[in-house]
Amino acid sequence: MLEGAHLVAVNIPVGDHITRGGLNLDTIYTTAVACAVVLGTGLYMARKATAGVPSKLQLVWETVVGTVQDQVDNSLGPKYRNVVPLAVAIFMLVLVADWIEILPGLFHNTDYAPSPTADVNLTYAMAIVVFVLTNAASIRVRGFGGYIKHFFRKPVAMFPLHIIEEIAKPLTLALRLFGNLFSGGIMIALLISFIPRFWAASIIFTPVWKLFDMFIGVIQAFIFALLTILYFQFATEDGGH
Amino acid sequence: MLVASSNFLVPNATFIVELVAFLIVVFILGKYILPRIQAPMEERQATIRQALLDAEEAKRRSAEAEVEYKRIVGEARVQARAVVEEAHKMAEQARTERRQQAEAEYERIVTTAGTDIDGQIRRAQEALRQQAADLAIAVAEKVIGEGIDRSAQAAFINRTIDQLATSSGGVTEKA
Repeated sequence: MLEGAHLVAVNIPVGDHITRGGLNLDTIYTTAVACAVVLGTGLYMARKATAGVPSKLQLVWETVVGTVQDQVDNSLGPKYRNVVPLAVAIFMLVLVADWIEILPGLFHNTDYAPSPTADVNLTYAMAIVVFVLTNAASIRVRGFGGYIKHFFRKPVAMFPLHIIEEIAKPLTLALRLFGNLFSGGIMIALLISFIPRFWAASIIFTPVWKLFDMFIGVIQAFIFALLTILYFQFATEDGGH
Repeated sequence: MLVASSNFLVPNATFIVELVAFLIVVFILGKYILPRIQAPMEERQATIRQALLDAEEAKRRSAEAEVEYKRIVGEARVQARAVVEEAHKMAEQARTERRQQAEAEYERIVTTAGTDIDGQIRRAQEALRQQAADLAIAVAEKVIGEGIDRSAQAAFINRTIDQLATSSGGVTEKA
């Protein structure tokens, strides 16, 4: 039994990608699919958007945009409405990217498409953008001197921790999302690899886990977007957090 | 082709592609999609706000109309009561006038009838008197057996009857 489990575990690829010229083609492919879905539905809906009775698609977009807008208004105030496109883009892209995992794949794993958010390249990219923009907002509000000074706020001896905290924000943002989706992919691969020996359990639990993964996808998209807004709030409020 | 990365926590060149893709998504969303969602959203919210205000105004007007309706109904009731009272008064007046007219007509008919009866009585008395005179003269002719002056006798009889009538009338009046 233990020997069987060992053989199953050995067969699961962890962190492997289809690469060419230093590019993870599978991640780029799934990212392109996610971007196409987000922009395609968004542009289609924007062309048909009406102030009358909205379509279901428009209702979904309006719900997301309205929720993000309310959150931005409550946390930052209406003058920071330019954060809304960033937060909406994060939520929609992460959500669609997370949900790609429930589809059958085309590359090295035909049982599921690895989510692009299960690759640090996308999560780092999004986190870097958030990091740069929140720090730019902090400098704009506090001035460069005030920005530097806020790392040395009282107690001054804690300034190394303040700097580490600032660096940890984008890292945790990226790795939290990556870790959840990466482990979700491993779980699906594990369940699928059960088929030869425990086919009944695999047939029952694979769809259950995929549905749970969809729930995790929503939660992670929400957390990433919410933390982005909160980081802007911390960066722009008087005296930092 | 399938390559296990040395450390899957370290990014590679894919990072640049992902960064560009993400920035493109943010740009297109911010430039072309969100403004076209926010405008109808705000328009709809304004419409809903206006509808709520209109509903509030309609509610206020409805309340005012109800107060006005109650006031008008109250006034109408008072007016109706006054009209009914006026109608009763007019009906009473008309009834009184009709009664008076009827009584006057009654009096007139009774008076006319009394006059007619007196005339007929007089005519009957006159006829009776004439017949009594003729009968007395006829009886007297039979008794005497000779002709008598009828006109003189008739005048005598009428005088006698008048005297009798006068004396009987005086008795009657005394009685």
